[in-house]
Amino acid sequence: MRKIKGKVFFLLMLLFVSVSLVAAPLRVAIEGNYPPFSYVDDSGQVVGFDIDITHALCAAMNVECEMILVEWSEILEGLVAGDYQLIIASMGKTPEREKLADFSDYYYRAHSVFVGDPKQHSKKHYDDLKQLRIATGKDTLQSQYLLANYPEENVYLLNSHDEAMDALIKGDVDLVLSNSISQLHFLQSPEGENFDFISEPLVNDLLVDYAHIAIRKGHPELLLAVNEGLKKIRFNGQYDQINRKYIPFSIY
Amino acid sequence: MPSKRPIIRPKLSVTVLVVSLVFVVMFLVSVGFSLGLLRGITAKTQETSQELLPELVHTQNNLLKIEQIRSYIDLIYWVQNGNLERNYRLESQVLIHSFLFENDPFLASEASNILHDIREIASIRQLQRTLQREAIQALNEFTDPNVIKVRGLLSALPQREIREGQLPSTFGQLTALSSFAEIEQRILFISDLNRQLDWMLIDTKARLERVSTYLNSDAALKAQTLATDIGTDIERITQYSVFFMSVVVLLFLFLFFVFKNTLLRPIQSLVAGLKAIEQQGNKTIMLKPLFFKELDTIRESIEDYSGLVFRMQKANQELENLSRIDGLTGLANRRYLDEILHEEMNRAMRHQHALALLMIDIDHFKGLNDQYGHQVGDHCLKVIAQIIKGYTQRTGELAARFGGEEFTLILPEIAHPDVWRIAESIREECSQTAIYLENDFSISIQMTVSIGFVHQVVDVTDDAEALLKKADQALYQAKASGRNCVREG
Repeated sequence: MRKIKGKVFFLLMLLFVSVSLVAAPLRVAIEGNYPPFSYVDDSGQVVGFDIDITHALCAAMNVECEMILVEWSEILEGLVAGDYQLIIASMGKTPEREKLADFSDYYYRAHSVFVGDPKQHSKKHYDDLKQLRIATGKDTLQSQYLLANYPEENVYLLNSHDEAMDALIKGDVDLVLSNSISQLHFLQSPEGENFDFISEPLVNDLLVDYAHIAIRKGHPELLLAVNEGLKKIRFNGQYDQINRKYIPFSIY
Repeated sequence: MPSKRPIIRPKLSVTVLVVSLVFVVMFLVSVGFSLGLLRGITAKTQETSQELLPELVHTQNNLLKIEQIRSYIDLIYWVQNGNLERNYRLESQVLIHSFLFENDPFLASEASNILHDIREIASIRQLQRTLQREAIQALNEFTDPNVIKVRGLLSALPQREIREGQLPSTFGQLTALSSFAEIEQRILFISDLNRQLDWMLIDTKARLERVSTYLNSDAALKAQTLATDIGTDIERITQYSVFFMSVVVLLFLFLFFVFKNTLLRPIQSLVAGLKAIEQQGNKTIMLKPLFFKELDTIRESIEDYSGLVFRMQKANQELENLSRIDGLTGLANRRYLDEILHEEMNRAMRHQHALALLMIDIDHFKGLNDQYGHQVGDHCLKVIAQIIKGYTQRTGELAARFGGEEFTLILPEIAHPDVWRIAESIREECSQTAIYLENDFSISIQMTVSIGFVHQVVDVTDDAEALLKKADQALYQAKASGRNCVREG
């Protein structure tokens, strides 16, 4: 009964969303500095898991989407300001962020892990890592964790995942803490061949990384449509296709 | 009976209203209660399926991951390329990491062990590669074509196939080389490591097997739990439904029973009571007190009605008696005499038996009245009336006051001598009765009566008037013969 009601409601909402949004395309913010979820390829195109998901989701929701590339550190401000209605950029849900935006059901899961030079740091325990310089992206779950648990002077907060990786390659930092999938992507790239996972993955509630789609507050119909759209692409196999394209195992 | 009256006597209308209300409330409450329970059970069932089904799916996903890890281990074992091996190792590592977040200590610790094994396999392979490279480098110093051949063979051999005793025979020629011990040591080391790797592969796969068995039985257990839980819930729903229906049925039965006892039966008894009034005879109808006020009011009315009917019947009786009796003497009056005489003549005619009619007159009654006054006269009349009444023993015999000081006695079915005897006996008794005045016992009055009678078998030509006249004529003869005597007409 509730399901039917939900479906009817969803269809009505879809109609509403279609009417109100098809006319003006749905504006979606993407980030572009978070391989393999979102990155600029050799031809200068922004590609990645998040981008493909955005395409599939928009098709499932039957809306036209316009993607806008936004810096990570400004991405929530733009949503609040109304520059776009959605953020599809591997965003984790935190109480602070929930004050600024609504969040969809999660669309992938990952965890955080350190990457560094295995020759120097391979067998080290967490406590030994505290003396090392650690980089991560600014305003990320990992940055919150590091600031809470590691000496502040050793924590380097950089503008993006790519910047953090560059710092590691140059030797400006000893370790980078980031999402395991992005780290894997880095390690499998030519730049990453001398690096490896360091220590065990961090088992911490803050770092069990569920990625959600952020939705502008006050649009429950859009939230519902996004969740239904996610279900649709998961059930019709599109999600798995996109998953396999970037990661060799399921990350849902 | 009145002591048994219940103190409370509710109104039927109020009771019906209250009972209906109570019934409706009880019904609503039980419906609400059952609905609540059913909804609770449904919610619980939904909850179980919503909780357990995703867990089942999750377990299934984990099983898939285990299969994937198994293939990664094979790839790492068989692939000879260091880069590919590293890629597979990294991927498997991320995959296994995801198990560390499982809320399952066994799974987490097994995942950690598997990860350790994979790293160990990869590092052994790396060590083998290094050893192989060093051995080839050592052979590089020699230009002997046989040695070059062996070197080529060695660099072409995958590490996993470098095993002691299985090497190509050409390796035997190397014993002559100066650095043979060094090379042999490396090759033997690789061979040892291969044996170690084989053991590790078996161990790791056994571990994977354990994990996948664990997950499978876990999934089976969860599915069974789900089925059992839902089954239990359905059973509970059935039980509640049966309970609810029984309550409704019992309630209806109870109401029917109460209705029968407090309404149907009382109404029947009231109707029966009403009918009984017709045959109530000389007592009023008394009915059991009833529970409901309205019905009890009806009962009271019926009892009142019964009382009324009783009183009316009594009054009728009295009226009837009054119309037949002479007020002064208590004997039948002239009207009743005519009635009875008529009846007795008819009866005598039908049965062809004789009927006697006596006319009795007090002698010199006028003088008595004049001398002592009417009151004494009346007293005398009463005394004589009592004497005459004493001769009416059998049915049909009637003493009546004919008028003034004249009395009549009807004696049906009587023989002629008996009439004489009775007439003489009356005359005798009257003449021997002394009447005293109320205020003066010294004076006693002696009275005599004259009697004339007829005795005959009545036939259709006779009528009462003629009979009376005949008796009257006989009385006249008695008077004429000097009074205080009996004459037959």
